[in-house]
Amino acid sequence: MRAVAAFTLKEALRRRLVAVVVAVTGLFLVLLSLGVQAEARLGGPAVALLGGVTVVLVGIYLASPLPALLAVLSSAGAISAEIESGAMQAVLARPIGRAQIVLGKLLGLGALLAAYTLVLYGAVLLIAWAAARATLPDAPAVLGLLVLQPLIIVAATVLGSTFLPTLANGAAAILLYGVAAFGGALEQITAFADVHALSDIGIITSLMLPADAMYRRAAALAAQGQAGGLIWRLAGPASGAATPSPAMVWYALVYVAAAVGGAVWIFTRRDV
Amino acid sequence: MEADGLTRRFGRTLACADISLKVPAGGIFALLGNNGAGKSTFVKMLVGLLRPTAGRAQVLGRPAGDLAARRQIGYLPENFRYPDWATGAEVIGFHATLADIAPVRRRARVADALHRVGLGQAGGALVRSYSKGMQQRLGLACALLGEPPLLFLDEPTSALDPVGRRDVREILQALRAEGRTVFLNSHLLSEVEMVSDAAAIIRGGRVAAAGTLAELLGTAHEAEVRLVGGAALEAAVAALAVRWPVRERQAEGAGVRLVVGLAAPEDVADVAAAVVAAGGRLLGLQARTRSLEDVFIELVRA
Repeated sequence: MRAVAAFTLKEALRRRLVAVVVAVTGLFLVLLSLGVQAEARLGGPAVALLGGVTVVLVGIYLASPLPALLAVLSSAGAISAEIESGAMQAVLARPIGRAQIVLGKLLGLGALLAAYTLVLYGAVLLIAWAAARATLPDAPAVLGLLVLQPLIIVAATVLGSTFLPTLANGAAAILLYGVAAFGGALEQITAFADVHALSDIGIITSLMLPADAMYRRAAALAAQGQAGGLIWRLAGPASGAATPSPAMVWYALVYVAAAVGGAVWIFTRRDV
Repeated sequence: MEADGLTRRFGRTLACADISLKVPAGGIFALLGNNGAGKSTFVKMLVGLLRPTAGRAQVLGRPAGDLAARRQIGYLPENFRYPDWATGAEVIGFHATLADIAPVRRRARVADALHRVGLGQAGGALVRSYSKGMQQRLGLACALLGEPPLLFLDEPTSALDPVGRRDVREILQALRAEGRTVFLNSHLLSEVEMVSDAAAIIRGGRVAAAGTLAELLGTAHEAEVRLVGGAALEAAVAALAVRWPVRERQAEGAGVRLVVGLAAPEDVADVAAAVVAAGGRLLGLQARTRSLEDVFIELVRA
């Protein structure tokens, strides 16, 4: 399993995809830094009125699609691409169980995404601190939820790659992420208006893919008890105003376990 | 390797039908058949990539596809493309790890495998820079890794040039000399004939013939006869047909060209005598042994 994980990690790092994501991330961080510093220098409303935490929340909000995108793009062909190329045939003829292959892939991709997410949000926090001396309250819990977000997507996408062609799986994963994010944004409206239908949509999409719910809970935790946090709740679809419950975090963990179990179950039974 | 009634269906398509084969240890066994005859499906069941719909198989005394069996086999798939972002040595190194080769011996084994297939100098290059033939050599190096006693090679020379084909032939002969067993799937019948000890021909997913190469070709002697004879021509042809099956007949001017099957090469003298005794005039007589290709074509067209 370790060999598969190491090879998967090496593949992810060698492919142009990661280079592109790193370049985009660098550009994003530069722009975020310039924007935040300019705001702080001018004593602008975001810093002066809303407090430093808003800078952190804006950074997290803007950065959150990046790990999700990397998760989808790196995992879409985790199993299927090797089946399509025929390379999997030679691997499966080796004395290694199919479950070990799936778990090794997940381990490699999970390590990559966890490291990338921590570096990304670490950089965001550094920028916020440098510009406005802003810090992240309850950092371990918030960062834990933010790391869980791409891991959920990786688990779901690897599950898809055990039975879908790579292209279809990538499209399905992006669609699912989009639907979950849209559902989560709609749900925020219920913090201000009691619209059950929107709340139901948010819950259903969160159950389909609880990744966006983890971002919402992380944002809510970060904003809790902060001066700017109250204002942040008014940020509408971007906010964590309608906060997912702790049960949703447990659901997300069960979701990941079920997706991993499903991927192993399907792959050990499919013909190659 | 022993298969007993191995059957595989894909929906309504019967890819392999009740195939029973026994391949003894040591030597080169070839599985022959048209495209879509079920050769690759059969091998995939033996290495554990496909589950049989019915029947069972044993590989080196273990159920086909189980971990202990896979520990002792090498497999070259028919269609594959190794990761193009890795070097050849990295691909083989990855497989060496999967094959449980001890870390202290891994580097040497990787170098040996690459050297054996002629990629000793190209091991450090990225797979994306390899030609199709080099990729096939890389696949063969993967299969040879760990010196397995049994190798399944699915079309090992299909992408190779004549030099590469000869190289592979020499590798196969060396493997036989080392006492290993090679299960070969190939379309290249002339090459199979050069290296194989035994073969099976499958048609429509069923075994049409199986045996040693000598057995498959044993009754495949024939003679090409050219004769004239005026009024006695048909009498001469009839005299031949009584003793030997006429496989081909073709008019040639005032005469005829026949191909008759012989029980043994020595029968050719009796053919000449029979023509003369019937009043025919012999213009040409040539004994020949049919090739594996002739036997194959005859069987798959039957």
